[in-house]
Formats: sequence, C-alpha cells, structure tokens
Amino acid sequence: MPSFIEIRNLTKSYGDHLVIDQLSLDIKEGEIVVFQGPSGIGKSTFLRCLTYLEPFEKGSVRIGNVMLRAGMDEDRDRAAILALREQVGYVFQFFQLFPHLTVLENLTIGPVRVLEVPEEQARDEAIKLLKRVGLEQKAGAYPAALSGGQQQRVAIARALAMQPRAILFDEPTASLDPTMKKEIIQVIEEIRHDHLTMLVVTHEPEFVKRIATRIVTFGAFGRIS
Amino acid sequence: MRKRLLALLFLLSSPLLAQSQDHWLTVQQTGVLRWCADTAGGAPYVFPDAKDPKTIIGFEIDLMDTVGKDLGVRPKLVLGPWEELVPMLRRGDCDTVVNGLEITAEREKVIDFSIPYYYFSEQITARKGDNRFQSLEDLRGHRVGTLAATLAEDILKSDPRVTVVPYPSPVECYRDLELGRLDAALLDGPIAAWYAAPNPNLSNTGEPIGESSYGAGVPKDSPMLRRKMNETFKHLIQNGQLEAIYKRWNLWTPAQKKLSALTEGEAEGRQNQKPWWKFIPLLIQRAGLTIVISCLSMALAVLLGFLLCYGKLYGGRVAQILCSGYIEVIRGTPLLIQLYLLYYGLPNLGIQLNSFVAAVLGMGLNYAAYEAEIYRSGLLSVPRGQSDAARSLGMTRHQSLWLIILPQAVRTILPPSTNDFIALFKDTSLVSIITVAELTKAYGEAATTTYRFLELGLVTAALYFAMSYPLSLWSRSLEKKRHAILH
Repeated sequence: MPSFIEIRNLTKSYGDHLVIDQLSLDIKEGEIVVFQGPSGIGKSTFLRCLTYLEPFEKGSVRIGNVMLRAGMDEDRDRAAILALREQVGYVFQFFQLFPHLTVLENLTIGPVRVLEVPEEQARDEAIKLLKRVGLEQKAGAYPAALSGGQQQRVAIARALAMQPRAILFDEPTASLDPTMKKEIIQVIEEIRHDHLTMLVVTHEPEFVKRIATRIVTFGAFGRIS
Repeated sequence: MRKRLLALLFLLSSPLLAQSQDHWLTVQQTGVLRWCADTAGGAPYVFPDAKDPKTIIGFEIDLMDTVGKDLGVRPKLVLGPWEELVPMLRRGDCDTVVNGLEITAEREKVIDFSIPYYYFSEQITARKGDNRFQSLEDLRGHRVGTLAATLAEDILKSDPRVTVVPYPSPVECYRDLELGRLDAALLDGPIAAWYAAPNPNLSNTGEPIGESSYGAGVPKDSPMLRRKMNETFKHLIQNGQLEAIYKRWNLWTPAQKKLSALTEGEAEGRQNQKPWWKFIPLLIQRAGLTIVISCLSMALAVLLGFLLCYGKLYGGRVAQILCSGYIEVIRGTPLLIQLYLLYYGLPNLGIQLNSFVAAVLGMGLNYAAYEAEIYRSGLLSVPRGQSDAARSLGMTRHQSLWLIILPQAVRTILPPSTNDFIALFKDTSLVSIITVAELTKAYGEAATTTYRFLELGLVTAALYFAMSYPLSLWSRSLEKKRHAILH
C-alpha cells in the first residue's frame, strides 16, 4: 500500500537556528502516530510545516494527492495549500475556538465558507458531531462559557466537521487538568476509524498505551527514531 | 475656539478691570500710548512692509506717530486678531484701538469712540470684464465675499437673497473671487483700493455704497483719553497733517472734507441691533452643518483608514512604505495647515475645491491616518492562533480576515474609533477658517456682532456637548459589551 503522507528532506530553520534537518517520513492511511521528545525540540514546528502554517526551506510534503514544496507562496500557490488544508484537520493546544461565534457556528463556518456545503446540511452534521462529543446542549453557547475540556472537544468536532482524511493534534491535552485529559483521550479514541490518519504530538503516556499504532521519537534537528 | 474661550474668560474678569483709572492717566504716567491693531491682511492700514517684513507700515502707523507727537507720548503697537481687538481693549491690553474700526451702535454699547478720523464707503469688486454688479441689488442671488464683523457684512446680510461668505482677511476673499469661488466681493473702500485695484484679474465696479467712518476706540471708563484723542484729531485735521497722510497713501477722497466739519459726539450709529438670544436658531441651524461635515468626513476616514491599515499590514513592500509614509506625514503636520493647503494651496496647481468639499476631504484625509493606526493595533490584538485556526480550516487570507480576525478586532477598534469621531466632531470647528459656515463660525459671527461672547459661547459649547455626549455614552456601552462577550 502506498503511503498516505510522504515527507521528504523537510528542512526548517528560524534564522540561523536549524530546527529540522532533512526529515523524511512515510505514514500510511489510518495510522495513529504519536510524536514524542523533549519540549522545544521542534515537534510542533514539524506539524505546522505539514500544512504550511509554517513555510519551510527545503524538501517536500505530500498528503494524499497534494504536494507541497519548499519555497511555495501562500498567495501564489494558494490552490495547492488550501486543497491540502481542506483534507487535514488541526487541533491546537489552546483550542483556538472563534470567540465571537457560537459553538455551532464554530463547527459550520468551515464547511459553509470553505467547502460550500448548504447551511442547513452543515448545521445538521454539526449537531451530530456535537452529540458525538457530548456537547449538543452547548450548541448556542459562546466558547468563553465552556470549560477547557469542553472547548477542546468542540475544537475536535470543528476539525471533524471538515471531514478530513487526517487530523494533526498539537499537544491537545497539555493545557488541561487530569479529568479533562481523560475526556479528550476518550473522544479521540472514539473518533478513530480505518480511513482517518492521526498525528499526535504529546507527552501523555495514555495516548501511547491506548491508541498509538506507532511511536516516533524526536531528537535534535528533527532526527527521528 | 481656544482663543475665543480665553477671551471669554478675560471678559468675565473685566468688571474688575473696569474699576481701574482713566487710561489717559496711565498714558501720562508711562509716556506710552498702547494701541491695538492686526497686521494680517491689514494693508493699507497696518501691515508688514513687503520689502522688510520686520517693519510694520500703514497709514494708521503714520497717523498714530503723528498723534503721539501731538500728545507728547510714544505710541506702542499691540498686535492681536482683528475680531479680538475690542475685547482686548476692554480688558486693558491697550489704551485705544485704531485699525479701521467702524463706529457702530453695537460697538458703542461696549466701548466709546473718538470723532471719525476717516470716512469711507463700501466698494463692489468683480472679476475683470464682469460688469453685472453695479449696485447692491445686482448682488442678489450671488455669492459675495466680505470681511467678517464689518459694516459690509451687515449691509450684505440685510438682504437675504445675497449669499454672504465672511472671511477673516481680505487676501483670502479676493483670492477666492479670482478663483471663481465668489461672484463678487464687498469691502471697505481703502481695502478695495489697496488689494483689488492693482490686481489685473479684478476690478472695482459700481458706485461706492453707504458711508461710514473709522474712529479710535477707547474704553468706556476713559473719558479723558477720549477727549484727548478728539482734540488731537481735530488739531491734525485743521493743520492739514491728516490730509497729508491720506494723500501719501492715496486714500484722500472728497468725503474726507466732512472731517473739518466735525464736532465732538457726532459719531453716527446704526440701527437694527438684535438681542443675543435671537442668534440661537442660527447656531442650531449651523450645528446641522457641523453634523453633516463630521459624518461625511468620518465615513471617508473609516474607508481610507481601512485601506491604509490593510496596505500597511498585508500589502507589498511599496504599499507598506506608501501607507506608513502617508500616516506619518499626516500625523506629523497640523490639521490647520492641511486645511489651508487643500483650500488655498491647491488652486496654485490648478485644482479648485469648494470650501465644503475641502472641509470634508481635509478632515477625512487627516483622521484616516489616526483610524488606520487604531485598526492596525485592533487587528494585531487578535491572537495569532486565531488566524492559524482559520487557515487550518482552509480559509483564504481574505476569509480569515473578514470572518475571523475583523469581527474580533471590531470590538477592540470601536471604542477608540468612537472617541476619534468625537474628537473629529469638535475639530470641525477648524474648518471655519476656510469659510465653511458651521457652528463655530456662526458663533464668531454672532459674538462679534453682539459682543455677547459669554452667553453665545456657552450656548455654542452646550450645542457641541449635546451632540458629542451621546456618542461618548455609546462608546462606553460598547466597551462594556466587549468585556461581557470576550471575558
């Protein structure tokens, strides 16, 4: 089976500071890869590079049938970059829900504005997703009224609403207390299925135990083992 | 405005000063006769010599030198804006005003006058070759410029069919006539003779209109000084020195023969004085224009401010430099100068804006720079993670800006932006200098006619407050709402 994600010679630095040096990695569809390693080693930067939130200097990233190469421009190569982001969900450490929109609107804005799904259909699907993460009664609330764990569950639902083929989790439980951590791990466990690839940057041993199909350990300059 | 307020504060204290002794006693003690005049657009009365601007010349300078010699005192010139000369006299900044001050009944209520030292008429000026205007009736239905707070303005205003445009000085008035912003101008004969006659584009037409006279203004509490001035003027009339001065300045007219027939107290007055409160409807009406100018210029400022901010944040290198440059230059120069350049400066490049357009443009272009900076800090105050999240959903940069960043920034932007609008609103008082007849201009007109600086000033301030306070309440409630949603 050909790999779903194919990373070749990915190189990223901030000024003179080399963060990732020629990283190559293949990930198959449906794999759940947990990235471990010391803080500040470049795991989050690596995730950001995968969807070009962070431009990189050398190498390439292919996800599905979209190829991103070093030196692309967010404006000029918009078509490719957006096509890639549409099929890759992102869950952040600090949730990054849109505070001026209700929970429901947070879930529908992507499908409606980006995928151009009819509003009603997007709403129905959003409510189904909120049920899956146990928050259907919060549909009309604003994010500020939710606990951290609830916000992260909404953030996961928001990523799922785009029907992605992969989801990137950047320390999804790092800013939560232990009970909420469990909630999130459980939700992630529940949403996995054969065709959803997940990349998780985390220090949480529970992830490794319960859901990881593969563990990648980050060393200096993005050397992996 | 600030100057007027200051004058107002001094007026409040004037009853105290009124207790002071006759100015003639002070003049005798010090050997100095202080007299007030304005040099701005002041030829041929009192003005800077074109050959040596540090030297001030004029027929009234010659007159006062001669008066000083006759009285055995040294004349000392005290400068001030023309419309403030009477208030200055009243609060004791000088002993007399000698600066083309017409003897009028309104003025005689607050100061005394000497006998006339010059008779004059009003003169119509039109563009060369325009022979339509031979009499006052011909001015009906036309835009006619004049000097604010003068007899000419009163004459024009007595006919409601004439559109009167008052100016602070004759230079701007004749310039606008040349540019076609005015159809004609009506000013004192000596002014027309000095400024308009030598101008190849203008000509003085028709017969002289009305007749009035200039007298030396003296404080009400100084009858001795007044008597001394009268004696001196009579003396100079009799010995021909006055005639010599006027002939030297080409100001001698047959009307001056009446001077020799003068006896004390003949100073003529004019009728039709209005009580100050009759000006309130005018002030309210002009407040409407202030609102219109504020709203239009704010709309322009918001639009342009957004473009500038967008250019500075997301534009290419050139756009960034241009936008930053614009913002810095506008913020680094006075609004007053910008208005002057727009209205009086641009015609030198062949671009002519009417005063309303210049006012809206000037205010709008200026406030756009401040708005742009407010928007920029508003947009930057939205955490970067928000744009990461938007982009991760596959949004374009425009979608991210419009759907995610801007709606959050608006809550940060609105309160300071509303405050800016309140400031703009009050700054519109500045456009009175480019002849826009808004509220402050109306106050100036009403106060210099009635000398009720205090009452009318309070009414004007109250009008500004009544219009800006609701905005300030709104701004505060916005801030509260923002707090409620985001925290």
